[in-house]
Amino acid sequence: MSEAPRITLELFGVPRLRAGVARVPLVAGSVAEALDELGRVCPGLVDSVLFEGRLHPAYLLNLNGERFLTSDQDVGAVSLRDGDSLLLMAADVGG
Amino acid sequence: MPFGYHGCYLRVNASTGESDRVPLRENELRRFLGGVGLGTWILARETPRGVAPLGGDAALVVALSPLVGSPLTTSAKFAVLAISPLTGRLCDALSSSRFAIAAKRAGMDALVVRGARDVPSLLFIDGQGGSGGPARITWKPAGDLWTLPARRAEALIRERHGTDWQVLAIGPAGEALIPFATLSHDGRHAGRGGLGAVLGSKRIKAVAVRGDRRAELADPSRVVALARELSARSFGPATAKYRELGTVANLLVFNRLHALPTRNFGSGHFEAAEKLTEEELGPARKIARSSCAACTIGCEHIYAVSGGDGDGGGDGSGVRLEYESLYALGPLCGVDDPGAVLRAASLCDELGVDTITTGGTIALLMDCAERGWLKEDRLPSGRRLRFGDGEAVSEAIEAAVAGEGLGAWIALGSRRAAERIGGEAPGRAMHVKGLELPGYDPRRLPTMALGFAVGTRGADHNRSGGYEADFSSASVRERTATSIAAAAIETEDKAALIDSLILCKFLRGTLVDLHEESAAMLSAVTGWDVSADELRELARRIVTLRRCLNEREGWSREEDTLPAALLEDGREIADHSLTAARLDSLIAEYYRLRGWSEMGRVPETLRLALDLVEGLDPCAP
Repeated sequence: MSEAPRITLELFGVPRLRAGVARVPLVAGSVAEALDELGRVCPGLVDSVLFEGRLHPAYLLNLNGERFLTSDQDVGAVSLRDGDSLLLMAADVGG
Repeated sequence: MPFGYHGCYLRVNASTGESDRVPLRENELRRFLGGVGLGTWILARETPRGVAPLGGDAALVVALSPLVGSPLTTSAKFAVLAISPLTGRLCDALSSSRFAIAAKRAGMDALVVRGARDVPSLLFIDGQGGSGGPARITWKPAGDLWTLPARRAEALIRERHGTDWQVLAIGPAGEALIPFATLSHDGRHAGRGGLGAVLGSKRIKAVAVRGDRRAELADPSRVVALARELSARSFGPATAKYRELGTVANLLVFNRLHALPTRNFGSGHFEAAEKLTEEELGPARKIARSSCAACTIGCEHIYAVSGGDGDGGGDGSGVRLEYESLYALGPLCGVDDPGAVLRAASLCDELGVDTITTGGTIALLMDCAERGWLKEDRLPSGRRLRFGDGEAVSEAIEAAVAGEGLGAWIALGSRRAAERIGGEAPGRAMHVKGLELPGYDPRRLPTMALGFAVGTRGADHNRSGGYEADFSSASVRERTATSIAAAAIETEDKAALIDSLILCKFLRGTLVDLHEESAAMLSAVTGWDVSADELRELARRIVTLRRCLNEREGWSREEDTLPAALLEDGREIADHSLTAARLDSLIAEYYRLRGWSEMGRVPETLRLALDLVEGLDPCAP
């Protein structure tokens, strides 16, 4: 049985502030698994950025700096590969 | 007269010292609303075609809105408009806080200033007492206030004449007619396009307002209910970024996405960005968090300034630092020293210059110096102007306002400085229509690129929120020209509405449906039966009117573009997809969806369809 992919979750802005770290190495085969794992590793994000394993709409994910994931469907459907980076940031990106 | 308005604007002739009250009809107010909408319409009426931006005929307009003075959060805002001395095109800038409230209480929906004083002066507009009649204007010599930073002048005016006055002032840059001088109130700035120079050309140091005339609300209890509900939402996760970190939080995100313009757009990634994070700026340096009047978000983060003689506040208590200032005085100039960036930002505040244009022009000269294109690349101290030298940035800012040596070139802004340098320099000046690009690298952001290119005031991330579409679920590569153009139009129209209401764009994440919610607020304030569709059309009308005014002032198709250096193939930016041909196709699609001609001109049929008809169309040929 192959190992689940090793990915990096990069935190920006308020998630970085609340987690106290900029990068979290995770083992996760999907974005949903990554968020579950993130909540366990960084409890400061639970009930502020993560709610029951899902991302609050005020935040969004980007995969490898190329593709933004903003809907629950994306989160559930996207599988991850070894070496992927998930970027977690405010949905209000500019300003 | 609808609720929420006074039904007039005050027109001041600085040459004669006289003023008159110009009525505003209900159909005019309903079609242009307030802020940038009403302000553009008034500016077009009050400004002769082809006016010299710093001439006596030039008008400076301050436009309020029906929401000013209401309990709705972030509503204490005003727009300032003129033909920009930097671009020669319409410039509208927004600012916030008590000046808006006091100006509305002075009994006007807008203020127009034309003409010029013989000597540096202060303009007092007193709407207090007097049985509710027109505000009384008084002129006083500026005296020892001339040459002071705006913030210091403001403090002295309030100290000498009473703290019930609210003051809009210029600094030394406005007095010196620097074409990117700011107008300032309470440490906040109407920054872009040189509106401070327009007031300076009239030899007016400051405008002070006060009053007790209230514009009544149609349904006060409904307004209060809407205000409570909006305020509650404004405290939530959607605004957490602004409250807890401020806009400086954007820097690392943009850097990671290779959208952080670095060293005059030589790259979209700054290798030293981690040195400029909020963790590095504060907590050691952070003094306070603040907010505008009537704002529940509180996005202002104030940092201590160490070293130098910069006065970042009236009491030396620090400088408000936003992402755009951090980018323009930091990575754009290759500077990674947070202390140096804060000193430079503080100097810009003290002298009264726009940080984006300042940083953009200095970065251009650094670029030209490193390429060997400048005959003289030394600042007055003898220091060479080079990327990465934070002290050189501060010295360059002072030299610009003093007009010393290389500083005299910086004081031109990047377009004119590049023309003066000649050769290939104009291709490296990062502006659109003369207004320097803000901190979004358009090579990675096609909707933002389009928004920059077609923007009426130039390269502008506030009148176009194109980046919202670029930072979305679709990969850049999958998006068609039609989808990009449609998204650019949507963000422009939304910005036009928000900037005419006037509310803060940082509320956008809290609004479920901008048009429906705005209609509800407007109806409660004015008593009008406003629909979401009416507001969509109003937004299109305002965007179109702004285009019409620029056309009247000589705009041509060639101006809707991006700097040549950003459209070359084979740049350092990874996987960029912006070429001249692609940009032209986006612009063509934008024109088509707007209903404009192939050359971007507004047809008569569209003017009629948008009610820009006789009496309402000040730009009619």
